[in-house]
Amino acid sequence: MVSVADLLTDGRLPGNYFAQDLYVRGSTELGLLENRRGDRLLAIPNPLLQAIYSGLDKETGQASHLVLYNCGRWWGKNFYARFCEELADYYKQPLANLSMAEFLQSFQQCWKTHGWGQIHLDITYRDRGFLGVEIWHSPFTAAAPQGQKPAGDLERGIVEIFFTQLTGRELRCAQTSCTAKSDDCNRFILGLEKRLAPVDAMVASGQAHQAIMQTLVQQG
Amino acid sequence: MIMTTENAHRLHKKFPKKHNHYALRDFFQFNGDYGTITDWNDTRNVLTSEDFIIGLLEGLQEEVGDASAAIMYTVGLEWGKHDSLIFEAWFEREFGMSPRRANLMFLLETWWWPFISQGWGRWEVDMSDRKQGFMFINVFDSAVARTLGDVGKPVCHLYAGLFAGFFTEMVRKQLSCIEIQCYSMGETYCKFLLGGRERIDAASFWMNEGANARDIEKRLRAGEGGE
Amino acid sequence: MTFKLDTLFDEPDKHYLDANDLSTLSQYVSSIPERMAVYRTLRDQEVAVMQPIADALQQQGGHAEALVERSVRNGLMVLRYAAMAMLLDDDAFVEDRLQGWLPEMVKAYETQAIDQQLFQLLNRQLSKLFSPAQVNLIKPSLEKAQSLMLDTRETVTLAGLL
Repeated sequence: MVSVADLLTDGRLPGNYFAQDLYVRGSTELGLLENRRGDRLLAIPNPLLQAIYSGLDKETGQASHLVLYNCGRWWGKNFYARFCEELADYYKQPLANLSMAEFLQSFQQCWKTHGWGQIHLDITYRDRGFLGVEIWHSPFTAAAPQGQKPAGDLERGIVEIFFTQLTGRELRCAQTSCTAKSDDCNRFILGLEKRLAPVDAMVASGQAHQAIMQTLVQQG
Repeated sequence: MIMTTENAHRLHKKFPKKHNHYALRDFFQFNGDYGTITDWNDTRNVLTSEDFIIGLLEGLQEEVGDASAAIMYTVGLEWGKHDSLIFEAWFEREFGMSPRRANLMFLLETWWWPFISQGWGRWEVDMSDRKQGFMFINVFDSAVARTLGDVGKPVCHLYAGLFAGFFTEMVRKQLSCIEIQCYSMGETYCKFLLGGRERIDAASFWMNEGANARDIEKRLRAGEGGE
Repeated sequence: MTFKLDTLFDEPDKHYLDANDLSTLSQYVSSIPERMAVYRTLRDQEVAVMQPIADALQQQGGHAEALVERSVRNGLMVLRYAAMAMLLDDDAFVEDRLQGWLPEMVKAYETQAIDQQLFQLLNRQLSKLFSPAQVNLIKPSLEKAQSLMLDTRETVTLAGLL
């Protein structure tokens, strides 16, 4: 029999940890923002994001894509560790005991509460060894120079390292569509490096996400 | 990003002349459906932990080594320039007055308020030397230095660039900025020197020779470091 | 501070509240004792309210134990947030806390059908416990939670991923 009292051990009922009105706190007296654990937060305004792109472009030219991807990986590595620590603390249990639904929903909510848009996972090609990630309303590619090339390098880095750590497999991430080249959202494919090898060339030749996925799947 | 009715700041639209709007829930409008955050001035923001700053610095360090300091300064410079344009527009909208005609201290305080709401720390401007062509800015709780901790050298190149870029645009005169004292050197707050290029180069040279902030202030006030 | 009252203080140049504003304020203030009474009952009777519902779902509904546990957890969470929303007279509170979370959990664990039954049983329990006027205080936030949870907008199902 289900005992309601037992469900309420220590009276807690963990829910939406990243609910925005709970998660973000601010003190105008100190000029500080922090999260519900008291860790510092920063609001990065759009002009700074734009400046990151234009500043890096001025200083490093074409290499700026690689630099941003690297920054994304570093950022993602620490983000993953912090994210896991926060959830484990909140649920008062080792992360391994947490269901995947709760874990991923927290991840999506965390993404939104930070104002990074909406992140969705596409598991259509899971059996073929690919995981799709869609990011809508991305502030990063909205601030990036608009052109013909995907500009989601920061996100590519953070997503790649996040899922690499989550799955314990060395995954690579390739971007197939981008709002900076007038697509509806940013789409990424995660998979093993050698299976993703043809993607960049297909993106460069202007192929759409669906077509790229078809080719990848057919290549087996 | 294009502002639509969904992400434009509703409270601001309703009360366009409300000046005291810097508390978290007034300043930021969170749109939970889209995952967007719009500030009072209809600028989009993203929240990050200190990991973002670390990521930026580590990623740069890995690719360009010690040149990362100069790049962060350039990023700050670009930021300050973009921001001055946005600031001019909203200042004029909010106060019905050109920023050029406003009391300088009031103007600067108004400029910094959003940064306080955004968590970049408090500041203090010391303009007592402005007639000699330089001024000092103190920043308390710098996001960069607090993140990195005591590393024995100045690290807030992003702030230095921001000040240089912003003031260059506002004053319409080429200005540079250097951090001469930093929380990351074990000090309690960060101190920036803003002025013409020649002076800033001189200060940088003195710093390399081991001068501290007080030495630099003294030498500048004694008229060293150029016009 | 409730959302409704918040708006009273937003106006920058208004020095005094007008008659309408004061009436809003006084309506809320005079309803506080009743709201607190309902809140206290919900807080103190949490298990007593929910246990018969859990039993009914398991025995009469014939649902599996794990599913009942899931649904009861949802119910407890909704009731807690609804109670707080009622205390603050702020329906948006329920939305802020549950949106983007509970509906996704409902989908992931496929508890829509059992949650629906739970809400029916919950309404019955509450009408036993409270007067109709008291039920009306908590009803708006419960209904808001219910419609949020059973919102069928399509999202990617996360269960079973990886």
